[in-house]
Amino acid sequence: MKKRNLDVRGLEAPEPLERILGELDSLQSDEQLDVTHWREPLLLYPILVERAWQYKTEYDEKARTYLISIWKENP
Amino acid sequence: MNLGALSLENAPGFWTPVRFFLTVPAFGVIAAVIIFLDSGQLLQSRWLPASLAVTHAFTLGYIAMAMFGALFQMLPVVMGASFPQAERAAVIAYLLITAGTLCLVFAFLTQVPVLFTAAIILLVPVLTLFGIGVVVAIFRTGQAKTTARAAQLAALGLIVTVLIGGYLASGYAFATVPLERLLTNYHAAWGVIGWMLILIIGVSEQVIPMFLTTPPYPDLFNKRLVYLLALLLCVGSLLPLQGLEQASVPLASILMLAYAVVTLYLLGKRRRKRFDITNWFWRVGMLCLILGAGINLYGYSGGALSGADVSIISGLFLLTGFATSLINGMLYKIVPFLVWLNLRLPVIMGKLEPGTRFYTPNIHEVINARSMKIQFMFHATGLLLLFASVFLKGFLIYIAATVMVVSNLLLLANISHAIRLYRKYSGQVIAIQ
Repeated sequence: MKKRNLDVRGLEAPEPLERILGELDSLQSDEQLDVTHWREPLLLYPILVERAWQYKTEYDEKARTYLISIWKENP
Repeated sequence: MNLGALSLENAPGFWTPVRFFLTVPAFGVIAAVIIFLDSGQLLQSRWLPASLAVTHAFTLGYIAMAMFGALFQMLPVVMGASFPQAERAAVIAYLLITAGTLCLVFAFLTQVPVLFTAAIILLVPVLTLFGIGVVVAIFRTGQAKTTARAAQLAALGLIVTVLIGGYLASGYAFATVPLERLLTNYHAAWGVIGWMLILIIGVSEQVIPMFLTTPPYPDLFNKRLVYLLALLLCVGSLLPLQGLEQASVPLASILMLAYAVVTLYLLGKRRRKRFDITNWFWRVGMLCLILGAGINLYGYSGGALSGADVSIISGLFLLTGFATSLINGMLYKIVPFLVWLNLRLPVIMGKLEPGTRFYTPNIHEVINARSMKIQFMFHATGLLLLFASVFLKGFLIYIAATVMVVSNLLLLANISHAIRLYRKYSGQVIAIQ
């Protein structure tokens, strides 16, 4: 699966959410979006569920960042 | 973490937090009007009826009102916790807290026992239940992050503050209950540190980088501060050792200074240098925290301030200076965010019919930048005049109170403008013919 990276650290709310949704609009079914974020985007998750996106979140304690991977559910 | 429990359908609606926020400046006006009518006598002693009325107009009507609104919004969105029956609970809590605070303020002013009884009945159960609700809602998510832990500790702090306050109020309400004024220091310490400061420190770890594009706070800084403050409060209150109780005061003041200095440093390191009024409100707030904590330390070391009561000046800096500045600044972030979110949500969720046109506001234009700047000038000038009035008695207090009334009316107008924008466009989806 091809990967696309998006770093939203240091952006003012709600810009991270807008940027992520903007990227998802053009994300292909063979692509995965990896988002680097300082906070856990709790507001994003229900939107992803509603739009049938799959996601996985990992926390890097050393870098104090969240890595959220998003991809399209296989039909 | 129980993230499955979070859904936007369960997130509170626009009005749930906003009705609390809209009431904040109204109590600011009430406090300023009392200061005006009292001609500044209240600055001479913390025990005067007007001093206690103004203190509770600020602590319950302004500060706690904003914090309740923010918690109803933040519990699901920031902490992933759902408050049971959030919409209904928020309406009932709002009505009881508003009516109860009005009763308490007028009870202090008039010293009528039945008003104290009404305030106890209206406030103690709802505030205690709210505190328990916050603790349980967060506990059920299993979250251990700073903001969640701080909100739980703050909710416990609120419960202790309310129970001591309820007992103190019953001393005014019933002739059979003694008025234990010694307990007032514990009531104030639990309210200011245990509830207000711990919640602010915990929440700021999330909201300062989120809304003001600062780097994050140093690792574990906020968490340690919150735990240390809670520990000091418990040790100072529960262990009946005079030395420990007294040592808690300077130690807590040093922790406050550390928090203020680190926050000011982070505000100076914002990634986006664009003018932001919330940044200035927070800077003023942190400066007041430094002055309030500094005066506490000065008073502890035996210092006196030309006839002025050190506890009054410290209270002015911590409540009217620090807390109201932070809240005022945050309202200018949270209210536009709520307007944006609630107008944008149907689009984000893909709930619109294909071909429908919709309006999305620019979050930076929901409240006019110039109007916020003017209100900030009134806010800062009002604080400066109020602090000066403690030393320069006389006509200055009338000007200070008038400027504070104008500042709060402008804040009300600015929030109302955002709400009008929301009402104009909510549900108004224009179909393209």
